[in-house]
This record gives sequence, C-alpha cells and structure tokens, in this order.
Amino acid sequence: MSLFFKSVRLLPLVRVTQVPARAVFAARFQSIQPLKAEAKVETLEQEYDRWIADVKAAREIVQANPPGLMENERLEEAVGWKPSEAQLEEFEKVRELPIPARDDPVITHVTNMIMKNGKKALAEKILSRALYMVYLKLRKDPVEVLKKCIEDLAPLMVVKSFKTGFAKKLNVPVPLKKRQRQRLAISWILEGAVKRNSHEYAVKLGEEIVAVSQGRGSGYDKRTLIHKSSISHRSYIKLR
Amino acid sequence: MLRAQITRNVSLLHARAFQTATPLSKGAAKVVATKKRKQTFNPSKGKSGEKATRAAGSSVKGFVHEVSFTGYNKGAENIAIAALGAGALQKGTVCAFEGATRRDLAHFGSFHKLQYHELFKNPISLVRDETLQVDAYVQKAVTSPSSENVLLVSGKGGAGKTSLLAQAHALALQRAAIVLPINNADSLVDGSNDFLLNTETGRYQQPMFVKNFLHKILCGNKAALQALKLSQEYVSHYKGKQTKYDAQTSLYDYIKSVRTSLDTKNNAYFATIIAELAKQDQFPVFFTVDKFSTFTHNPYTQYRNTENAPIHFSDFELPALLLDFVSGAQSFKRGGVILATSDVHKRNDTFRVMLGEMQPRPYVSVEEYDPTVGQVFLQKKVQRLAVAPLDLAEIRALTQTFIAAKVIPEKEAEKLEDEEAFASYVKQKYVLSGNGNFRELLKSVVLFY
Repeated sequence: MSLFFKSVRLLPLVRVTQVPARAVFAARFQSIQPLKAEAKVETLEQEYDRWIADVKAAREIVQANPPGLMENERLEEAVGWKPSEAQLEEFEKVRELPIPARDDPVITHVTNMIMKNGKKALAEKILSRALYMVYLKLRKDPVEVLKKCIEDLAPLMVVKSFKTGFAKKLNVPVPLKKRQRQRLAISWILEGAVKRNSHEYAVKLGEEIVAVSQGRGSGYDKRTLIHKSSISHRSYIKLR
Repeated sequence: MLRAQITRNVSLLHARAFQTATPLSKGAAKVVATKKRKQTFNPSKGKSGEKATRAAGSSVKGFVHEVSFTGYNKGAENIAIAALGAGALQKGTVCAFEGATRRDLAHFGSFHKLQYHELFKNPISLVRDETLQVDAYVQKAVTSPSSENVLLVSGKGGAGKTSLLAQAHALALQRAAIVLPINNADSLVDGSNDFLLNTETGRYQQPMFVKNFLHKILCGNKAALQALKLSQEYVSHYKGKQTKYDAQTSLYDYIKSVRTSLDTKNNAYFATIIAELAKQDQFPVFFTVDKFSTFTHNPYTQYRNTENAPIHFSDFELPALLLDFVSGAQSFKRGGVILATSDVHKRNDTFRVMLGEMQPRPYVSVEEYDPTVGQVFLQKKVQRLAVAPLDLAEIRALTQTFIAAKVIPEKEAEKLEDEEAFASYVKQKYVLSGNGNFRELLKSVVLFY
C-alpha cells in the first residue's frame, strides 16, 4: 500500500453532512411540510443501487447474446431463409478480402472540386449527369474522355515569383506535380462550364467536357499563356 | 453646340412625358423613339431589349429536357432487336418499338422523360409475364365491350407500369384498335389548364386540354379514324359561322375541323366524338390513363369555383367521363379501359379500396376515403395487375442488351465475357437495382460514376 493511502487511513474519520445540494433543492420547492432530507437520501441511494444492478444484469445479457447476432436470428426466423452451403463457402472466401475501392482517384478529385458546403452526394450527382451527357454526345466511355481532357489541358509548368531580398522579384518557371497539373485543368473546366447557358450545372459541365475533348475549351488559352510565360522566363531556371 | 443639343433633347423628353398640347416635330419624335427603352419579361433578352449573347452550341435546357428531347438516340449503336409483335411474344426477350408503332406511341406520349430511351436507336422494352397478361387482356378486350374489360395496373415506383402501358398501346394498335391515351392524369387536376363552366351540363370544361388530347388521338389513330364515318349529321357554330358535317364525313376530318374551332362556351364536341366512338363497332377502342391515382390522392382539384372553394374532380367533364367508362355507365362496343397508378401519390383508404386491399372505414375524412372513386371500384369487377420486380433472368437479358448497345463501356464489357464473371455481374446489378427495380437498374448502369 502506498504511503498516501496509509496516511489517509490514519486520519480521523470526519462525518460529511449531506446537506448542501438537497438543501437548495428543498428551499426552492418549499412545500407545506418540511422535507426529511436523510430519509430521501436513503431511498435515492437504494434506487441507485437497484439501477446499477439492473445495468449489470443487462450487460451480462448483451454480452451473452450480441445484438447483431440476435437481429440476424430474428431476420432468419421472419424470412424463413437460411444460406446454402455454397453461399456460406463464398461468404467465407470473401470475408477477409478488403472492400474494393469504388472510386477512381481522378473522378474523386473532380467530385471534390465540384463539391460545395460538403455536399458530396450532390457533387456526385452533378458529375454523373455530366458524364452521361458526354456519353450521349460522343458515345465513348465518358470517364476515359474526362481523363484525356484533363491530361490534355493540364499545364506542365507555372511561373512562381521568388523574393530576392532586393527590389526585384525573380519569376522562375517551376514544374508541377501530377496532382497540381490535374487541379489546374479541372478548375479551368469548371470555370468554363459556369459561363454556359443552361440553368443546370450538370448540362454546362457536360458541354464543357465535350468542348475540351474537341479542343475548343477556354482553358487551352490559359494553358498556352502559362507555357509562353514559362518559356520567356526560362533563363531564371537554376540548373545544378 | 453639344450641350445645346443635349438640353434640347432633354426638354423634348419632358414634353413627351407630360403630353403637352403642342405637337412634336418630326425630328423630335425620332429623338424620343431612340431614347425609349424597350421593356420585356423575356429572359432571353437583355435589359436593353436586345437579344442576350449566347455561347455558340450551348444548350439552354435543364438535364431532363436536354437528355430526353434532343434526339440523342440518333447517335446510338445499331443493334438487331426484334420489333414488339402481337401474338408472338416470348418472355424474357428485349423488343423495340419501331416504325409506325413508334411514331404513333410518340404522338400518344407513351415514352416518358427519364426512361433513358435515348440510349438506343428505338425505344426498347422487355417482354415480361405482365406483358403476356396484357396481351391476353387486349386479345379478349378486342371482342368484348369495354365495360367488361377494366384493367388496373399497380406496382412500386420504377417497377415498369408506364412501360407496360406503352406496351399495351402498341399491342392495341397492332390489333387495329383506337387508343385514347391520357398519359398524365395529374394535368387534369393540378390547375395547369384553363377551365370554364358549361351551363348546360353543369360541369367544367378544360378546352385546351381537350384540344391537345384530340391532337394526340388524331395523330396516333389516323388510319382508323379516316375509315370511320359519322353516324349522323352535325352542325358546328364558331364565331357566328355555321359548318355542316354530313354522314359521309370521316371522324378524322370532323375532329380535325372541330379541334381548331372549339367554342369557348358550352361546346359538346368532345362528348359527340366519344359518343360516335361508342356507337361504332368497326374498331375496338382503348381508354388508357396513366397516374390514375391522382384522383384518389386528393379528390379536390387545384381549381376553385366562384365561391373560392376547391372543385371536386368529378365536376369536370373529362374525369367524369373517365369514371363513367370505368364504372360501366358508358361503354365502347369493343375495347377496354386501362388504368395505371403512380407511386408519387399517397396510399390512403381510397387507394387501397381501389386496389381491393380493404373495405372502406365509415368515419374517415374525405382526404382519406372518397366514396366517388371508392364506390366505383367496390361495385365494379376490375381486373387487377400488380407489376412485379425484375428477376435475375430478366436483368440478364437487359444487361446483354446494354452490352450489345455499348451502353456498358467496352473495357468493362470485356471483363464480362467469362460466364462466371457475367453471372456475378448480373447478381450485382440485381442488388444495386434494389432487388429488381427497373428504374434503379437503369440508373445503376447509366449514372454510376
């Protein structure tokens, strides 16, 4: 036993009066007959004990029969269905496998860039509808079309300005990573879509993707400008 | 000089605005005309009254209209699908609506938006158990009075009730029948049409709805209506002009003439046309109504009378006529009445009584149980057909068609060449379609990104 507990045991017993909280309670709801605080406390404590015992009993029941299992049993009883051996085998085979990722990283990236206020389902709906329109217009796999659009539109470099500590800033062309390139291309497609006529964004986006795939998107001008400026600033690239 | 010019113009403008007694000179009138701004509520026009600039080749439609009504089916893959034929229907096969049938059904409005018909050259349709039942029903109805052949199609949303109705139209047309299609009963009660009281019958008319309805009937049943002659002479009055139609006039010509000159008050032409169709024995007539459950959903329409009280749907001529044909008070000599419910409408007591699921409870509100419809279905022996969800074999047949039409991308389709993989894919689709819902199956194929 630690020294602390020993010292506590040696301390004289102090009777703790249980008045404060309940006294306030009694004062607030002053009835005609004054309350007997101690009797109340006893009954309350008994109730707490009973409550704790009930919780313990319930916990034992739940531990013996996990709720999921019970639900399954009930469902089987209700439906009158039991899996066949072949199905059970298949279940065992698939059980340990990881759930395959449904989403394409590019599609996810586009969805996330369409998304506003965390409404991902709406963003998915918009993209699905847009891609369906792309399919109807071109009769090609729309996901492939979108990927090719992004690949074609994405700039290779951007010009970044660096402080030199003097009056002049250095504009240095910097190569982009894949995701950075992708991001710029997607943002240009989404910007181009906003300027179209339909009142529904899915239609606008579908049209813009088709336009980009045919080399007509407004994003191509932006890409050319960036490339031109990168070429003109090529002398600032430091090669080690 | 310029300042003087401006002050002169301003003073002239004031003169125009306050309409003084002094007449304006010619030059001044010109100045005023150029200054006046044209105001319009047309959203396609800018503030200045000029047409707003549009991006070239950019659509102004929303997704549903863009997809459904832009003719995307023209770019679809050519695949060999047999036409839907009466008498030689094989369960589990995918058929197409082709040629004249397709044209007539398009006039009827049998193909609805968001049914994804644009995926194929011609609208496709799956022959199911229900199709065979409808075929047998049409076969029987062609030889017996319509009062004996009332068919009520029900089922969950997206199960294929409207598609079944389209099949019924095609099967009826192939048996040389006349089809009277109301493809959206909601539009009879939602307040979207003009209406006026016919003082002679005491019922309300909906002239524009009738006009459009007659147009559908004319275009879809041209040959049959041209072959039918009027049984008696009729005289029409329009804008003080009298026109006579003798007994040799074809019903087609009569409808065409009357349709464009519907009187604004107390016209009985529609009743006359229906009476003519009821009298004849030459062609069977099918009255079909989609979304019939709109009448059970809320018996009171969005229209209001002069006391500002909502009008009951049976106070309108066309719905009342419809109820007459369902109850058997009126009947075609040969033909039938096909009604389809909609999942959009609530399942109140009237709806359940209509489906024969319950007896009416005595003390419920009119919103819950409306005896006008309830009594008709309690007294009438109606054939009921519940559209079941798709089974695995049907989903398999549809998936094969999707692969053939390249709706499923080729990359994915290549993986399905193996039989085991294909069977597994079909099972997946079964689950994804909510255990065989037609609409959800299409969505899982088309809008899955």
